[in-house]
Amino acid sequence: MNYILTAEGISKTFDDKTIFSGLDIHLPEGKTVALLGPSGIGKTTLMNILSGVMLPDRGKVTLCGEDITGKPGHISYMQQKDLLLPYYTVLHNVALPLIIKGVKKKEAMERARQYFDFFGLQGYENKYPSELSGGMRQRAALLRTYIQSDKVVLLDEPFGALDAVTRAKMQKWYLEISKELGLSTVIITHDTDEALILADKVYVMGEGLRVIDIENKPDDFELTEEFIRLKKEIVSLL
Amino acid sequence: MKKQKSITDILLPLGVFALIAVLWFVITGTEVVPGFLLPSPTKVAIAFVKDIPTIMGHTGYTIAESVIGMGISIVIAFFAAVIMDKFACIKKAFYPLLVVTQTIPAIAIAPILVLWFGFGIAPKVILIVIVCFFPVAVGFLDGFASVDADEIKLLCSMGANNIQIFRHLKLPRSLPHFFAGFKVSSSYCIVSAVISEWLGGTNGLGVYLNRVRSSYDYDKMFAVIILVSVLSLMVMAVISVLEKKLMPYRDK
Repeated sequence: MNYILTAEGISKTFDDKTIFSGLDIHLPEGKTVALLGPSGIGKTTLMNILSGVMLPDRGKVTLCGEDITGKPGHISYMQQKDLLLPYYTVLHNVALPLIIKGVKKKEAMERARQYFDFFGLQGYENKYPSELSGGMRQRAALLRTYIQSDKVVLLDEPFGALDAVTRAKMQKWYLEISKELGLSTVIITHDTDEALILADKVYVMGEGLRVIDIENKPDDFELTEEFIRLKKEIVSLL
Repeated sequence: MKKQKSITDILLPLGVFALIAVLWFVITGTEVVPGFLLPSPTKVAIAFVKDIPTIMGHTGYTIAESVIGMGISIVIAFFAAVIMDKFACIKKAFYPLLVVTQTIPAIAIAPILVLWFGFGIAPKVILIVIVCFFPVAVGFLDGFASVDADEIKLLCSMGANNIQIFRHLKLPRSLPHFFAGFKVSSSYCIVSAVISEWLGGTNGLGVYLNRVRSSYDYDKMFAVIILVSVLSLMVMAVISVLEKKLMPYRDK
């Protein structure tokens, strides 16, 4: 199997409290893995380590074979809040990663504009974030994350703040676009259903780490008996 | 989320102003107060129209002082705020001094400034800066501090440097706070100019006011008092337009 992102032997201790030791995460190219666990288990700490914002005590993170431990900027990281800047238009917000990289504003906006159709944001280019619904804001934040790095995206409870109906729609939508774009995704969630719907592999962070592979997901997977079985298994692990 | 002003929002304050005008007419018309102490609105209007060329000359002078003083205040406030935001120790050292400048009574310091800097424009501009600098500087400082730590983290993850963080986060975030301070300052600035001129000068509405007061032309005096209010209101209106122009997202 060809892994685009690997974390091996990751250990982290805060104030004599071991968050995790010798943790291994493998993200196959073009796939989605979910980190599932209750609050306070260290999911966000692990995300910080993967994105290079935090150094692990031991272990290393590699992206396409290159050691990126403690080096931010290689992987884009979408936080829980959408963090769209209220004073920029949606187009300007989405183009910001390119502008920061030194691309001229006009060209950056032109390049960002090409993705608006695909992300279902057409017609919203010149709106301000406050004029968008929660789901639309999340799409814009995802597009910005994608423009920042198209290799691997880390999503920290991206749909957590949405209402249940919008969340279900966004999950379906994300499945579709990540398949089409060939995105490799690490997603943090405390929602078992969300992990099972989105991921090809679920890391269950309970007492120790357990890996559950989900292969050959059918359409409407969440309505199958297999889904219920896996859900029961995960709940027993947590 | 556009804020719609209802008719009553406009009519109510207008009604109060109209009531005051009517009271003024009645009091002067019935001569409860002698005419030389409180001239009637018509007399004030006539005095204003008759003396328009002189008044306009002085008005131009006062406005020029105010604009220069306000401009200098904003520039100094901006750089002071940037430096204080960057270096916490400088903020700790100088912030109390800034507060102290606000406690100095303008009316007391103006004659001293005239003594030091003469009867020209310099002491007026300096007084305006002393009065107007502080609200603007505090506006910028609060604005810079209002940036969300997660937003800084986001821009860092994009590889942004300090100048980019300032350009894309701190500066736009500070604008609403800056305008709040700017509005407060602007309401002070014309009054400060007038006070400063009154206490020593050769030109400006303050000089004119002082002159007509000495010759007991209270109708002219009232005319200019109203003019000074109107000027301050106009300055605030200009700032509101500027605010809408610079922050179009605020109305959405």
